[in-house]
Amino acid sequence: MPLEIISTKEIIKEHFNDKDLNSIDLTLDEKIIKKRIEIDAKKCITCNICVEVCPLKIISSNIPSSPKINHEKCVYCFSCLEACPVEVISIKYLTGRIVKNYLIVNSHGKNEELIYNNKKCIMCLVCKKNCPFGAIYESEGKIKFDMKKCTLCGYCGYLCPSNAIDFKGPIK
Amino acid sequence: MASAIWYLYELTKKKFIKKFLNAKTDKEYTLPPKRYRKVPPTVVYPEKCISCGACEGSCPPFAIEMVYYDDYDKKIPKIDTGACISCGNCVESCPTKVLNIGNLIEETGSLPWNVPKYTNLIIDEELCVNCGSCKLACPVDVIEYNGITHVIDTNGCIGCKKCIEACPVEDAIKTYDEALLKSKIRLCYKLKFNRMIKEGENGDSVENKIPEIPRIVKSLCITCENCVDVCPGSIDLNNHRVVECIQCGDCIEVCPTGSMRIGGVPKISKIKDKCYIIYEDKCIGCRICYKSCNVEDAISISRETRLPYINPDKCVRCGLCFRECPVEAIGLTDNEDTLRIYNIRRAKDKFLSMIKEDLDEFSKKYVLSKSDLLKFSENKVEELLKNKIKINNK
Repeated sequence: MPLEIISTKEIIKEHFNDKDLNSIDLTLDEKIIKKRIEIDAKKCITCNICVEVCPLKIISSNIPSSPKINHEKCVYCFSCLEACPVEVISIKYLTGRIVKNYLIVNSHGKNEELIYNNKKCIMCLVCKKNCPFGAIYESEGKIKFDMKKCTLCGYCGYLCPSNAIDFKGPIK
Repeated sequence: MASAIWYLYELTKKKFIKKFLNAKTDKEYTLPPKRYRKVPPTVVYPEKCISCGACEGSCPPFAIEMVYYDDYDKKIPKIDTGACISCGNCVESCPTKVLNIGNLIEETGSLPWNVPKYTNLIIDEELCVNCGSCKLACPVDVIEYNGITHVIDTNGCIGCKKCIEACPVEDAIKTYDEALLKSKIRLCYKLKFNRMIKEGENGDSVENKIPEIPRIVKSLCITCENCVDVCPGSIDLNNHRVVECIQCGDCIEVCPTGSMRIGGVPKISKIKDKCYIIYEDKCIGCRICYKSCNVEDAISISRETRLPYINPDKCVRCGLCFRECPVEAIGLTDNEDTLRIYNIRRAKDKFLSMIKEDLDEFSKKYVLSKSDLLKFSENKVEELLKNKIKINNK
């Protein structure tokens, strides 16, 4: 079940004012991905486990209050969320797509599967350079993923210019 | 003695004495002066005659008639010696020096003169398609291309009207003669007189008889100033411009050559049953015909085959493309053949251009709406995210 369905009729009307709206089916391939991480400061016990667990070391302890997260550098790997003993860290992962004149917004959980489309890949190696865990390497003219290192954070899919990397996760 | 000689001398100075001294004999009186031509003109070199009819057109008493002779297999001027006034116009107008009267040709030698003629020819620049047919047909080479249109040199023109025969467009070369000029001047006076009387009697409005301000066709204007004379406003003939106009339409009536003009003039071809055709199997697609053609929309390039095709409604059959084609891919056939090909090509062209236009429009709108939609959805998702986080935190 999608989280929300929003009509985009008004915007389409602005551009295609002279035509019947039923004759136009606008479906865009672009996915809009928005993520947000938040720590509930009231419930946090300031155990600082998340600071230790974070693979990028972007959570800094802020004793006596709850730890601080550098939102700009966070790749939303869910490590802190899984480690938190009192479950006060929440990550919201929303994707939006336009299907047949409607904007459909889905809420996702943690990614469970990485889909790499070899045909779409243009070998720009942006993913390799930017992978926070060094899980991507190149061999025989192809991109390979080291699934032991990979945390399925989805950062490479967000960066990929040709949408060759996709992630699948349960829709909440 | 001395006084007697004086008297004699004074006497000889008197007129009546002079008469006696200068008296001529009978024979001397009948001798014509040296330049007097009493003999009628003669056809000296009939084999050189090109049957142009210039002599016929220049003769004031209409004493010359072009008559067909079997011996020469062409028309040769026949002179009515009784009607001839020995003016020598025919000799002066003859481009090939076939005629002579007395020793006029020898006398005048290489002196320049305006060729005497009754009918004058003038080319309409709005109708001229610059095909050069008139230039090829002219026996005296007085037609020149001046960059805009073809122009006849009025001084050298012999009025043979061969250019009119060669011209593919109807009424593109106009004629005017003395009688027409005279009648137009008379009309001019009449109009002016009538207007003066009417102005005195009742103020009948002469304004807005014609729907628009007339323009002056530069190549047709012979600067007779009839229009300036009759115009209640003002006309600048030096720049060929109507300065002030009340749209009375009088200038159009008095113009002898139709130089004052309102509205457009269609280019009508003289030939209607035949038309040029481009054979697509021979055409190499060089587009020389397309570039050379001076008639708007007569030759178009097909979107499908990229080869030119002719529109028989617009084509004036001037034959310029036919002469220019390097591979002889253009021929003359029946009108229907050209029309059939034209209809097919035009229909396909229209269809293709329609599709392209629609696609262009749609893709433009699509791109615009896409960027707007993306911005809109991004904002929406962001909003939702904030709301969710807030709810969770509460």
